[in-house]
Amino acid sequence: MLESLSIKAFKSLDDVTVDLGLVNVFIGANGSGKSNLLEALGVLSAAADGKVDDQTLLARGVRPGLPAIYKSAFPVMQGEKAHLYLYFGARSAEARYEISLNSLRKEAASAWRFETEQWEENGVTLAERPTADETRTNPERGLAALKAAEVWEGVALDLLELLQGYVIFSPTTPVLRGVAPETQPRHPVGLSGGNLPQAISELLKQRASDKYSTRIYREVLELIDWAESFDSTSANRLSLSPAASTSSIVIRFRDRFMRKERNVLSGYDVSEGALYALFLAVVAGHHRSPGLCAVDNADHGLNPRMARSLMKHLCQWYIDLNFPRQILLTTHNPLALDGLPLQDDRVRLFTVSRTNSGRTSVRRVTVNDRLLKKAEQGWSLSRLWVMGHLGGVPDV
Amino acid sequence: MSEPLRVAAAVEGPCDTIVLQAVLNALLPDTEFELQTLQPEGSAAFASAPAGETGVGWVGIFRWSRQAASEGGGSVSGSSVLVYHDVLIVHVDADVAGKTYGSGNICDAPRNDLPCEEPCPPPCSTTDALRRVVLNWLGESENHPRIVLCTPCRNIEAWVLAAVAPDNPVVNRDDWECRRNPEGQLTALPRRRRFSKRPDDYRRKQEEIGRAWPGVSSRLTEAGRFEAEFSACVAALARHRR
Repeated sequence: MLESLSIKAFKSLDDVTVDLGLVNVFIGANGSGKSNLLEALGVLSAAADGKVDDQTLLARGVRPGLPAIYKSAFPVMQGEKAHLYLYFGARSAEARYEISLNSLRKEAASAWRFETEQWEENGVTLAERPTADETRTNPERGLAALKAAEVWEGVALDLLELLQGYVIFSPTTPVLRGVAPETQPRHPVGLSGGNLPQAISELLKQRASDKYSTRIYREVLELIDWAESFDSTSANRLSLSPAASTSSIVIRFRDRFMRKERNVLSGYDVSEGALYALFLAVVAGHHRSPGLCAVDNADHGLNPRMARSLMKHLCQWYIDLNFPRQILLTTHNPLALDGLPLQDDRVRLFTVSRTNSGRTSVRRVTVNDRLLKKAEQGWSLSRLWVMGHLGGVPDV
Repeated sequence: MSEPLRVAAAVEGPCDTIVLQAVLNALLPDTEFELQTLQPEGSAAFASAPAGETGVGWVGIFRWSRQAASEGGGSVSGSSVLVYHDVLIVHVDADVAGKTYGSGNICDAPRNDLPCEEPCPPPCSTTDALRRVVLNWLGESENHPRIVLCTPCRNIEAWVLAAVAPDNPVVNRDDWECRRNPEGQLTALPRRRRFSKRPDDYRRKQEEIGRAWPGVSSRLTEAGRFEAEFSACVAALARHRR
C-alpha cells in the first residue's frame, strides 16, 4: 500500500507530503492544486514504468507538458533552498521509490530526463542513480523499471507495480453513454469511462465465484432506486438509434415501474448518475481494476444525496476488499463528505488550499472530540465545509 | 515547508477581504498563511430579505456572529471555526458604533448596546465601546487569545487612503480617523489616482496597500492596535507550536 506521497516543485506543489489511506478524498477550491496532486502521482507512475514522456503521461490521464513548464517557479522562501529539480517520492511500509527529474528540457517530443532515482526495500538499495550520474546510463530511462526485471518478488516490487498501474480516471457522460469514443482505452474501463458495458458484463460474471461482486451489484441497484436490474447485452437486442452507441454491446436497465414488456432502457437513455455509479462499481470491484487509481470529479452529475450514498458504499467496498486497493478522489459535492466514515483511519479527507504565496497546502481533516461534539449538536461535515470552517472553499 | 498559518476572517464586504489580505501580507512577510473568508455569505435569492440572511455589511457580521456563537454553544470560540483555523479575525468598521439595531432590522440583539458612539478624537473611545458590543455578538466575555478584532476608524477606507494617498492633506490631518465617510476622499483624488470601492480596483491597489502598511499602522491608532494584537496572537501561536 502506498503510505506516503511527497512532491516538490511540481506546478503549485512546492513542497507537499500526503499520508494516504485506502480511500482518500480531496476537497478544495478550483485551482487549489487537487488535480496537480493526482497528476504528480501520474508522473511518478510513468517514471516507475521507465519513461516519462507525453505518451506515458497521457496513458495515465496526466495532461502532458514540458518539465520546464511544470516546474514550480515560486520565489525561494527565506531559510529554504531552491528546488533544482522536480521531486516525487512514494513510500510503503517497507519500500521507497523516489526520483528527481530535470526541468531544463524545453523541446517537445523527447522524454523527461531522470536526475536522481532511488528504489529501496527495507533500507537496501535495489536501484540508484546518484546525482552526478557516473554510470552514464540513459537519463531518459528509469533504472528501477529495468532492475525490476531481475526482481521476482518483495515489497519493493509491490510498490513499483502499484505505482506503474496508477491512472487518473476522468469519466465523462458522453463516453459513459457510449456516444463518444474513448481517447485512452484500457481494460477494464477507459480513462473517460469507455468500455463500461463490457466492464459491467465482466463484473457481473465475477458473481459466479465472488460474493463481493454480488454485493456490489446489489448495492449499486439500491442506489439506482428506479431500476429492477442491470446488465450488458448486444446492442442489436435493444431498440437503439444508430447514433446512440459506438460499441457492439450496451448496458441494459430494467425499470421497475414500467410494464414488463416495455421496461428496458439502455445506458444511452438513463440518468448520468446511474452510469457514474456503475463506473465507480467497476473501478472498485472489477478484478482487473488498478490497485491504485484516482477519479477526478468523482461526484460528476450526482445529486448530493446520491453522492453521499455512493461515497459511503465506495468507502465500504474499498475497506472490505480482500485484495487491498487504494483510490484518490476529488469532489466538489459537499454531501459526499457526509458519506465518509472518517473515524476509520483507512478513509481520509484532505483540504487543499493555496497559501498567500500561491503554494498548495494539503491538510488532513481528522475527527477530533470537538468535531464529534458538533456532530452531537446536529452539525454535519458538509455544512461545516460549506461554511468555510474546514477550509478548502474559495474566496469568491 | 512548515504548516501554513490558517487565518479565518469574517469581514463586512469583499473589498475588506482584499485590504485584510494586503495587511496580512505586510505583517507576515516570511510566513506562509491561508486566509479563508467565512463571511460575507448568503444567497442571491434572499438579497432583498429585510433580515433573512447573513449578507454583507455590519448586519452580516452580526448575523454571522450570532450563528457562529450559537453553533459554539454560546460563544464563537466554542464553534468549529477554531477547530481547523489558528486565528479568527472579525472586522467591523467603527462607524457601526453610530447605528441602531433597528436600522439593520435586528430584533434579536443580545443587548441593546447600539449606538455606542463616543466623542472622537480619541478614536479609541468609540472603538473600545464597539469592541465590547462585538464581543457580545460573538458571545465572548473578554478577548479570546485566538480571536482578533479589527475595527478601523471610521472605516477601512481610512486605512486604504492612508496607504495610497499619504500626501493628501485631508488624509494627513490628525483627526483623519474621526472623519465621517472617508471613502468620499476616493473620488476626491486626482483623476489619474482615482479609484472606486470595487473589488477589481482594490485588487489593483493591494500591493501598494501592503507596501505602505508600516506607515499606516504607525500613524493610525486602530491600524496600530490591529497590528499589535494580530502580531501578539501569531507570536503566541508560534510559541505554542514550538
